[in-house]
Amino acid sequence: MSNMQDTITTPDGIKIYYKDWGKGQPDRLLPWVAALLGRLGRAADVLSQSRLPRDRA
Amino acid sequence: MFFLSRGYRVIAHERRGHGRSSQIPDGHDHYAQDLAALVTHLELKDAVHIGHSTGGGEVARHGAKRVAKAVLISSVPPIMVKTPANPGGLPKEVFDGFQAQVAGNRAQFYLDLATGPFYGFNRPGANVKEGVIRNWWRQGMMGGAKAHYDGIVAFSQTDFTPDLKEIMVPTLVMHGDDDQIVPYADSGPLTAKIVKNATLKTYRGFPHGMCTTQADTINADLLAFIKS
Repeated sequence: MSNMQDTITTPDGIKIYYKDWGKGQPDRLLPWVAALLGRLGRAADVLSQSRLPRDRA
Repeated sequence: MFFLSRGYRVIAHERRGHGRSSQIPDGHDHYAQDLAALVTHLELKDAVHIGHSTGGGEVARHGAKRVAKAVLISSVPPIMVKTPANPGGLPKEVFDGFQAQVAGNRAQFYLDLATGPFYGFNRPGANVKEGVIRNWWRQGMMGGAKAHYDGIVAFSQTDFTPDLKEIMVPTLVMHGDDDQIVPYADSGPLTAKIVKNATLKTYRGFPHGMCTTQADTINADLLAFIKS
C-alpha cells in the first residue's frame, strides 16, 4: 500500500492536491482475530458461569 | 481505511480553493475539469466516483468518462436554489445569508454549522462528538475565504439537470431525510428520477454528514453497491 501525496497542475495553472493511498490489501488478520475473540469470549462466559454459585455464596 | 482494508485503491483530491489546493475562487465547470485532469493524470479506468454534497455536483458534471459507477451522497443536484423550474428549492436569500456570514465571520459560521445542522448535532438526544466538530472546522478554515464565498453560488445555483441526464453508468443516490443542509425532498429523489440507471437509498433520520456519523451503515451500503 503506497501513501502518495501529490499535486497536479491544471491547464490554467492551478495546483490540485490529492492523496492516492494506492491499492489496499484485504485484511486477512480480521477473521482470525474475530475467531480468537469469540473463543475467548465463550471461555470467559463458561468461567463466569462456573463461578456464579460461589460468588453468590 | 474501510475500503483500503478490503483491497480497493482509494484516491481523494482537494477542490480548487479548498484545502491544500491553490486558493483561487471558481465554480463547478472548473471543479469538474480538475477531477477529469486528475483521472487522466493517474490513468484511471473503470473507477467508482463518490461525491458528497458539492462533490456530488462534481461527479455529475464530470460525467461518465472512465467511470464504472457513480455515487452521489447528500448531494446538491439537481439544483438547490428556488427557481420557476425548481419551486421546491431554497430561496436565494438563504444562500445570500450564507455568503454574508462567510464574509462577516467565517470562523464562527463554520463552528456553528459543524456544531449544529451539518451532523444533526442540534437534534434532541444527538450523540455530539467534539472531535468531529473540530475536524470539520479545521478543514473548512484551510480553504480560501473568497473561494468559499464564491463556492456558495456554485453549489446552490448550478443546474446539474443536463449533466444528470448524461449519466449512463449505474448510480447510487444516498440521502438522509433529516438533511438540514441539502434538503432531502428537493435533491436525492429528484436526482434519482433524472439519472437513467439510478437507485435511491433514503436514510431515515440521517443528517447531511451521515458519512461520518453513520459511517458503518454508509460504508456497508457503498461496498454492496460497488460489488454488485
